[in-house]
Amino acid sequence: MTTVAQTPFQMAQSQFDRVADLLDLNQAARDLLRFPIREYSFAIPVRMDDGSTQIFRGFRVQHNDARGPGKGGVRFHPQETLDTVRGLAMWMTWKCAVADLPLGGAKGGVVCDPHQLSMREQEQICRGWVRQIVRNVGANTDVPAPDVMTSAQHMLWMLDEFETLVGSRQPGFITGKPVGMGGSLARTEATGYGVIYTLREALRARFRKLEGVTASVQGFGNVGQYAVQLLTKLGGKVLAISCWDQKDRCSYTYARSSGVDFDELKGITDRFGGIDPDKARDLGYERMAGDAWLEQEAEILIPAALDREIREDNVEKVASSVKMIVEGANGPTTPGAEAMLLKRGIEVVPDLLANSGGVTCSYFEQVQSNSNYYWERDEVLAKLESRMVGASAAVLDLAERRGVSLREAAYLISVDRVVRACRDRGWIQ
Amino acid sequence: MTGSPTAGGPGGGHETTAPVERILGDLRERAKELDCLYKADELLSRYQASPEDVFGELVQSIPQGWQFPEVCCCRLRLSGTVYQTPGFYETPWIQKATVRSHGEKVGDLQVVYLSPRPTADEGPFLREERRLLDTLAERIGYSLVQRELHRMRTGLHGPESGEGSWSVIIQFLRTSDPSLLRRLAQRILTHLQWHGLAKPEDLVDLLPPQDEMVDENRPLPFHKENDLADRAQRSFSLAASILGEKTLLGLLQSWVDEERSRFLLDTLANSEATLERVSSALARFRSQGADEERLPAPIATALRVGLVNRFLSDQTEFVRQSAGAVRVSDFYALTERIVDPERSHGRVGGKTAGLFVAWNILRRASEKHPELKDIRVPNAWVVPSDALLAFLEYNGFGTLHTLKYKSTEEIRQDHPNLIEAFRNSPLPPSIRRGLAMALDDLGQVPLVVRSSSLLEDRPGSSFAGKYRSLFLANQGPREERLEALERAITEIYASVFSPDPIGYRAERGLLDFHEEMSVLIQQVVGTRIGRYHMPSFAGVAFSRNELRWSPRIQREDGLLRLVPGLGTRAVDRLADDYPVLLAPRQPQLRVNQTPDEVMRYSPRRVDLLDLEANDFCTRPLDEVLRECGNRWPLVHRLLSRVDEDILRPVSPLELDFRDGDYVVTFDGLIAQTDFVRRVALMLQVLEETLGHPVDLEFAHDGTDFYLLQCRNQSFSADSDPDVIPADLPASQVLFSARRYVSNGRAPEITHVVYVDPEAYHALDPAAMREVGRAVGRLNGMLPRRKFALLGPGRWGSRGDIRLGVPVTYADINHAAIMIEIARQTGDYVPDLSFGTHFFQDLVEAGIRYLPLYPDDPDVAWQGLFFQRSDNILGELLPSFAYLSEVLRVIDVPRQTEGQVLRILCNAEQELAVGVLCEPGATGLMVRAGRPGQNLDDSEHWKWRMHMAERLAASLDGARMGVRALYVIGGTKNGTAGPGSDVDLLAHFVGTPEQRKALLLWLGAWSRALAAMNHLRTGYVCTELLDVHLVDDQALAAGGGFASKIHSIDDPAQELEMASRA
Repeated sequence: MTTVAQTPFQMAQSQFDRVADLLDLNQAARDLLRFPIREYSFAIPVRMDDGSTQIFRGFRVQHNDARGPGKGGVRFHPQETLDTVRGLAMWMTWKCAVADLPLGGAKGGVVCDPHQLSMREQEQICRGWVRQIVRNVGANTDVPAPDVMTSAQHMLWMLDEFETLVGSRQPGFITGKPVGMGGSLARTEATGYGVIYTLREALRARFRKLEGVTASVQGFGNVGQYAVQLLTKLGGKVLAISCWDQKDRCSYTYARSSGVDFDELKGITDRFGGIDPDKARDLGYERMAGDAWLEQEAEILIPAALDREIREDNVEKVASSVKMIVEGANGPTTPGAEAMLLKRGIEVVPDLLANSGGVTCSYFEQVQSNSNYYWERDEVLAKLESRMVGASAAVLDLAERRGVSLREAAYLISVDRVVRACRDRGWIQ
Repeated sequence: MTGSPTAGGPGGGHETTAPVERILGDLRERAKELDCLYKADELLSRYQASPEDVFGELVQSIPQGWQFPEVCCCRLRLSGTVYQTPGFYETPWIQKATVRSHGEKVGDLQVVYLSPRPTADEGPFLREERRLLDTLAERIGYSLVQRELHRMRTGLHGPESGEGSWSVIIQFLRTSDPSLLRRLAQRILTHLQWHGLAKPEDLVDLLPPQDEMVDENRPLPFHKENDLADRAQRSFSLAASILGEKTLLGLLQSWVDEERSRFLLDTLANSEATLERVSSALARFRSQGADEERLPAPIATALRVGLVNRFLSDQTEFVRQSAGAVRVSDFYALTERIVDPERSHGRVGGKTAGLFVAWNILRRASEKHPELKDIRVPNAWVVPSDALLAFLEYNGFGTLHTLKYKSTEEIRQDHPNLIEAFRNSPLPPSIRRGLAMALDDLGQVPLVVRSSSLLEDRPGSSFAGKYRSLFLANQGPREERLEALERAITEIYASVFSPDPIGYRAERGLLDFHEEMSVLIQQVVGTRIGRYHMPSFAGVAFSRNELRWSPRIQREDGLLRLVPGLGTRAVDRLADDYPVLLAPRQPQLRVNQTPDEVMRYSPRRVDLLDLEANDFCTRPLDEVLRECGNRWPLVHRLLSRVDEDILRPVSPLELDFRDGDYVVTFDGLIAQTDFVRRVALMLQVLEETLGHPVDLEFAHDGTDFYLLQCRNQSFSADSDPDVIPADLPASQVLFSARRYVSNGRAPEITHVVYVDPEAYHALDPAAMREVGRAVGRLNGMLPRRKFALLGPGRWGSRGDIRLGVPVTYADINHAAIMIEIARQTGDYVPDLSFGTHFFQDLVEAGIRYLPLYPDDPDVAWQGLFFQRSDNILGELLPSFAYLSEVLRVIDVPRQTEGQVLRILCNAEQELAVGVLCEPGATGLMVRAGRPGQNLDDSEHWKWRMHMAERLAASLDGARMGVRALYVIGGTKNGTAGPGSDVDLLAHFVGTPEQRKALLLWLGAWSRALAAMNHLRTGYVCTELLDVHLVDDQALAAGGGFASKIHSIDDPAQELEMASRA
């Protein structure tokens, strides 16, 4: 019916090709960066609960480690392919580079469906994965992290297996660990706060202050909540928040013209980010349809829920008051919608930059684990702010100088940084 | 004991004590209830010791049993001998009891207080002391008999010899029960004679002389007891020489037992006997210390069957299953807890019967499986079934029996009045008295009053939820509590006459049965936690898992639904909350795996009894935890602590309900206790013993496991397998499945939303999302719970949307069934999700799930129906019409001449079929159409003729300019085959516009008929009608088709139209 869909890796490659053209990279640089630098594909035999043995397929792809040890999650997915993992590993390279972290990009996965596995079997998969890749990962080589269908528990199993095999404590081998077991404080806040630091810098570059700015936020989970918290704390005003209602199984937008009081709203929110409709009404919030957040007369939109929420078919609804969209979620704006927004003079702060607070905090976790010294929360947040400010400034500056969109600027910077590192190491000329 | 060649007869199994001892022991213990007088018993059983030692020591020990031992003395006088404590003298504060042996007074036992003590029941003595004294006196009497027997036996034969020990029995019976001796002697002779064991000449002088019997004018010679003893002696002696000592004693044992159960059998066989009489017969059986294990098998079986039949149920199936599982002794406790109306003949009802049988099975099984020890049932009383009739009669509600034949609307209208009337009507006095007693026994703890209907739990008719269960906090003054209990019972009675159960009974053909409902009054399992009363946790367990969330789970792995607090939340489906689901034999394969899922699908509310408000209520779990979590028994086994994205087990030490973040996971219970293994074993034992899968309700108070209900699983609504006719016409079957089929009913389907797997996979991700959005929109438009979703792979896949249509639960929550299609792609079949993404939402909403593997052998898959039927997507959602190639919405009745799609599932056969059939709730009426090759040839023209008539009947001739409509050709002549056209001839007199309208109208009919014909026969054609229009002119000319109208040899047949031009 339509053209054959591109695989994730092909999409990542064509995106890179466009940037490579803009940077006028030579063929060697292109050949190096279009493909992963190393790939591992291996079998993981697992003794199942019923006594049978099942072989699972595992992967680790290290796309580029010129700037530092690889960094990227391990996914458990029934239809995982090496191809998907390649694409995601490349994306991690750019993500770490745009945040200016001394890290490379990697990704891993296991073809399995955790829904059909007991916890013990999942533990065996984690341990088996580490046994197969132990020589090629580590605090100074490649650092795994949680991803789709893997959690802190999986990370601890992997860490334990790794430490058993190498015979020493190596908390810096993996991130996403709980506090007290090598995790970092402020991890939950990091992404949401990072979104607001980026927003503040973007506004500053446009000679605007954060104080008094109005925003509408989609999603009241981890990212949304902390974005709202910091934004209101810094003097911004949140007019509306949309969130999922588990009972009605649809989302609603809660709006109040006087603005949202974060603590008040947080007090009536369940652990999944669902706001109690009755209590919200009592507090003077108006309940509207789920997508009403998009139509608010605000200056800033912060989509912090799912991908593809701003599309060609609803982008028209974005109010004329909106000046900027800051992507807290991954891929919330479709390319078509972004083009229309840019035409209307609405800037889009891309996910690559805006939500890089998460990966930055992962980096902090690594640093703390490696030195086995853990920082106070404020220290983490202060370092996060400074990192985000630096990363944002570079992107904003480049966009300004080259007259490109922020998304293009972010890609340009990240690819350029990686190419430089490769050059400095003498891999390419 | 002597060896014997015929050893192993009745009684041969009891080897540990001398048989004679046992028999004598039984005989001695007539009419006795043993109290625990260990000391006295121990002393009195030393019958080899001298009487002086025994009785001397006994009187010394007795004062210890009295309230004031320091002033208590005791004296025993036996046939002139006096045994007494030092310092005994008679005072005014004295208690006496007579000691008897063989019914004769042989002495007395006296207890005195040497100085005054406060007045109690009998002077200074307590009521209990009177009972103790009487019992002691009784025991002493018996011990005298025992000593006498011992002396006789040792005197006769020496202590260890068994030879001739039956003569002791003769000695004993001669004085105590001559008639039994006579019967036994007679019986032994009959036995020898019957089995041809004795020579006739040996028997001749033992049997009554023949001449005595024939002489009619002379009175029979009188046989003195001496003769009897002598004859018995000789009979026994003969039998012993033939059978051997051991066999003879075995026979005697079983006959003695049989003698003693005779009256109970007689009572049970008497259908006139009231419950009260049966109960007292049972009590007598019990008091005789009869041991049913020693009864001959037929007698024991007859007793068990009789009791099951009398108290539990007359359902043959039930009687068969349970009679093997219960013992006579199991009924002792049951009969003591029945609130009898006068002259009751009622039964205890399905719920009570099921629980009673199950509990006794488990108790018995615990000998083999120690894990099943200490399973308890809550203390309960039963109001038998006919108490309802007594209530109706007492209050003059007799006419209500006709109510059930009224229309549902009438019943519904009257019902509120009826409830009021019932609640204000008193129960008959005998029942009230019984209830007062029950209430005293149950105490001031919360109660649940449950209906236990006789019709309930019949095979195939689950009345689950049709009748009521009422919780009573049961606090306050006795009068108020009694009143509340009575009101609850009358309310339950009113529910018998409420429209829903009546409608349900009518549907099941049970209306004409006289509904008698018994009522079960159970203590609510649990402890007081703050102001609340509730169990620590509760749930339901099923032998068969009808909700398999993974292909790795077998149906036989069972299903558990666990909730904190009262089990009401596990029994019912919840709209806004989730019980924890578990397969008892595979507890590690949980529905929800990621911490986020586990948290999202965990119980958030708890049902409990608020003792202060005297009410049943539902409270948010976190509030209850904050309020009194620290007093909640076993709470640390129910909860996990949320630590960022890790769920950790909790230790009782760290519980902090002010700050901590907890979710109910039951992880501790599952991993750290043998609870799940016990439940799995319970299900297994019950299924094996009863011969069918079971469904249990249970509760746990933190200390003990309580069984609350047990019934046949196929009686629960969710587990009813559909009957799938073997001869379903292939053309009516749209699909079938032979893997992972679960039982359970899906409603009739009027609309099918079909996502074509091939077309879907060809889409780009953006378009795939659009399909998801369109499905979400359709979900809001199509009739609720009447449409099916069929699509490739995993509905609601997160992450990689190529796996299946990206929908959230909200996008599908009105569907009746979600069907995932796994087509072979290349050489592998993709895994299906089994609905895991929102599995629990599906479960709680009762949305069915079915995986289809169309490429499997032996399954049906009419892909063409889904691909070719008219797609109404464009009508419903014009803006999504561009997806018509991928997303097809089929209006089933429109497409199939008013039929609907029914999805029949039968897990036992591992078969599910989607079949087109007539709408209607009862039975499966598949339309007469059968595959073309099998159709009777006449079916084709008959159907065509019928359709032509229907077409004509709806043709508005006046509007369309048609004066007459005829059918010609094969349809009229009865020769039309499965692929034939229908030839119609229309006499047209209208304008060109009318002509156009007419052809358009006929065209629609033509295509619809073609589609129907395809379904009937498999013949594919786009149009079925061949219409010829003739005008006045052509008619006048008389040529061509017009000639048919007045043809002599092959005349057209005129059809009746709605109107004519």
